[in-house]
Amino acid sequence: MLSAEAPLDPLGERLSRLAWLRRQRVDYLLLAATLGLLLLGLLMVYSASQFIISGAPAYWFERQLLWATLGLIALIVTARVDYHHWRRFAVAALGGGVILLLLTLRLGVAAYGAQRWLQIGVSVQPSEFMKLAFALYLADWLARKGDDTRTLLYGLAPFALLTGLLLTFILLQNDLGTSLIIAILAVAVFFTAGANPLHLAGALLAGGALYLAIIYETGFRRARLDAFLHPLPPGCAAANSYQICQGLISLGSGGLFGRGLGESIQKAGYLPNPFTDSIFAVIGEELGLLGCLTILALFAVLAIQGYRAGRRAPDTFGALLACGITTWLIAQAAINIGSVAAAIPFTGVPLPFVSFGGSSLVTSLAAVGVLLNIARQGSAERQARHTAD
Amino acid sequence: MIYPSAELARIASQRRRQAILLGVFLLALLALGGRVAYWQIIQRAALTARANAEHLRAVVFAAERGMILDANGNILALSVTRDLVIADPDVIRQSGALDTDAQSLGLALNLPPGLLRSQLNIPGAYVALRDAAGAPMLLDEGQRAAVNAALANGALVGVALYPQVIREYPDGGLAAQVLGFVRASDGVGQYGVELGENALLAGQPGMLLTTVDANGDPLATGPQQETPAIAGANITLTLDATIQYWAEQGLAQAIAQTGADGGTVIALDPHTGAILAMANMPSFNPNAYGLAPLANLMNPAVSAVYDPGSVMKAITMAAGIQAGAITPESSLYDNGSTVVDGVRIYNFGRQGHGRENMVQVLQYSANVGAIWVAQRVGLARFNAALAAFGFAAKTGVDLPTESAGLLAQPRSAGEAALTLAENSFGESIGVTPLQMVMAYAALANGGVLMRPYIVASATLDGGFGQTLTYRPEARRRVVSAATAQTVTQMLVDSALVSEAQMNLVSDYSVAAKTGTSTPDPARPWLTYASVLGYAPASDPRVVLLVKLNHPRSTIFGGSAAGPLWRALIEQILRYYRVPPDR
Repeated sequence: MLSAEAPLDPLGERLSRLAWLRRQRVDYLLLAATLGLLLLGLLMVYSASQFIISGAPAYWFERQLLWATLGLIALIVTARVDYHHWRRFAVAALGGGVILLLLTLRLGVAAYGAQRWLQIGVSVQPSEFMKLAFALYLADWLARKGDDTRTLLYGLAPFALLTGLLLTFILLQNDLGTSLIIAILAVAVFFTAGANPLHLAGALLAGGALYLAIIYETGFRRARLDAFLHPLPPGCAAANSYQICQGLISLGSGGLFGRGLGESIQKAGYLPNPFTDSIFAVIGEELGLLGCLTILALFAVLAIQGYRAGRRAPDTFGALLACGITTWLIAQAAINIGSVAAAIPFTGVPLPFVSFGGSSLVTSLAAVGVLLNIARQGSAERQARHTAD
Repeated sequence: MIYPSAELARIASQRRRQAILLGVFLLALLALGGRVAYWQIIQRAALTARANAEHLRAVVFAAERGMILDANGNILALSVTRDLVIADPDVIRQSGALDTDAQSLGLALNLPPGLLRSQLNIPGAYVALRDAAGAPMLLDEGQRAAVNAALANGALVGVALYPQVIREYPDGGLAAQVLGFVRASDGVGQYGVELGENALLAGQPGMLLTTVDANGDPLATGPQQETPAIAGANITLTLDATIQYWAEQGLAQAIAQTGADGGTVIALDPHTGAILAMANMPSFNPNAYGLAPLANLMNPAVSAVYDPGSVMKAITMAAGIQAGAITPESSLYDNGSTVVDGVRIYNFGRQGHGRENMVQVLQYSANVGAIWVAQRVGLARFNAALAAFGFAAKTGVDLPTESAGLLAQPRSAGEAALTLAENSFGESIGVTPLQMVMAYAALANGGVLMRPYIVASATLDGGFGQTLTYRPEARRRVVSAATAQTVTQMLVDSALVSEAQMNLVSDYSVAAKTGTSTPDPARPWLTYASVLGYAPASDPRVVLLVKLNHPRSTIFGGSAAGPLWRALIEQILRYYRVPPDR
């Protein structure tokens, strides 16, 4: 063994450790952005949930810490396991996810309380897992299609059918946010896989019309649209815009530098869901515009590195998988932040890595692990090609 | 790895399209950054204001109310904190402490335990203990110490002391209608100086801005701002508690002796208009204002009007002399009555006095003589004189609810002539006691009418701040100094031999006139009997009015009000160490 024979040389040992780190070919930028978001998230979950249970300020933080640990273990596993390995489980994952979705739907219909319990988000939300499963399945399926992706009969038709069916299940669960993320994910992957832009445009138009129809069909969502157009009624008195209104007050009262870490007042009962869907508002109030821009910058790094992994992936499956995962995470972040900042009609989704929520956190971190593995294999291939040149 | 060219093209296309996706999302993130910046920079002020409106609760705490002091610094009114005993009957019952609590409290408060036990045993979770008379139990120092000791050694369960700020009037009912009282429910002064000077006495309430959570409970974080309260001003009156006390005692005695319904005494410094005493009966105790009839809360010395009767004759004489219509030596033949506008007006007792000069008119209090003077002055000049002396207009005294008085409103020349005749001896005219006193004060002050006042000074910030001093204020010259001197001498001369027996005032010459008015011709025995005058006549120091409402044992000014007037003027002048002038 080499290490057994090496002398006890601290400098040499440090250098050899550095060399080992480089040999790992880890996308440190992607990892750093993810860990940065995770740490900021833990901090903010602790701060934002302080007043939720009086006398137990760390209650939600401790649970999030547990989920973060599980998520990091998942990340390490998925980063180390060759991503091609998961391809075999693509159909099973999608099938299992759909069954779980239907089960939730059924439970929701049978017992209303069960559905609400699921929606509170403390426990497993199949729709979170569904995002990863669908990204995996789409990548596998479209990579197999090859040039057929471009055709109407073999490309668009089955894609639209499959995606439409899945979205229906999720919409039946009354989860507009997740359906929107999955729709964006699907369109992005389909687009990357080589979809005919005309087909895609038609699908987008039809899908958009469908969403608008749903929004206008259900009065509740229409009210949310109204709330988006008038986000700041006097005294935040309108029930539909209460959360948006309080979120904007949080952001605005934070200003450039914020009230300071832990100093949010809005989290003390004014702002609904301060440590889940509205956590970005608490960040804005405590850390100001600088904190908000930091979050946005970290997601930008995630996007750059994620699509970079996709572009450099050794095969189409890897490229599409990376594209799907990256699109999902960034779209979800944009929807969450856009909702809080009243840039889009309010849609309740967690902010990836930051909001409280076990299913979301573990799935997202596992997905980043997959991204890291794709990035690693891409850089391995480049290195191999460089050496071949 | 070797790729076929089609595969290479597809990979290139995939890369291009991912770059497009990246571009789209980076733009989206950038736009979001802009949107967030819009709220956090441009909308910051508006949203911060909304945040503050939500988060900040103002707790207002009252400033300590200032004291009211008499001219010598004696405390007439002050605010003190006294403890109320409160208890939670539910807790007491649950811990089975009813009997021991009643026992311990009875011992500490020196009340029968049975009375306390029944109060502690009411249904519910709150009771404030009351004394045997049913008034809220405000503890004195000894009781407070005893209850605190019992609380400290655990003898009382479910009982606590609750501090309350209350207004105390140490002299009880002394000058009650001058002082007014403070309404316990909101601490706002009612009636008298407490109302008139409420803004000064109340001070500026303090405010604590606290950040609260959505339930309204205070938060440790967030902005806090405290504006300290500024204590109210201490108000010093011109009133002398000693003279006030004599006036009230004397009035009570006179009312008891004559069987009167009530009365008013006013003592005033004619040179300044400073009110030295202002007493009325019936009155009330401001420490228990809730028990007083509403009618007793007003200050009739400034709020009630009456027909002054013959005391007005001095004003009639002054008008005549000032107008040059008469001199003290002018005389008329008085056969006991005269006819004005078809109405025959008689002297008192329908008595004729034959030829009489002006001093004799005052001495006999002859109505026929007064009418003769007024008619010589003439309607216009007489009414102008009434206005100059301050009748039918507020005196401007710094006390609330002042009445302006009343004048008859004649509808014809005949009625006007009759009114003139009646006014000349103080009928058909409504004056407040203070107006009448001020008219005499003008004569006593060399013809210059002062504004009466009772607030001498106010020391801001609970006696620690700036002192505002209120100076005497001359309103106008009413008659010449010579006229004032002449009328004064006429009053002195007539008083010496009048039925009011002013000659019994030892050492001081007095200028005074009696008045007996019978406003209700159907019940001529119900009179306002008064004596009004000033002394010493050579350099008047005090104007004094003693007025009795409906005296029964004797109904005339001189006999009913005279004894008290003489006693008080002598007492006051000796109190002020005024050198004798006789």
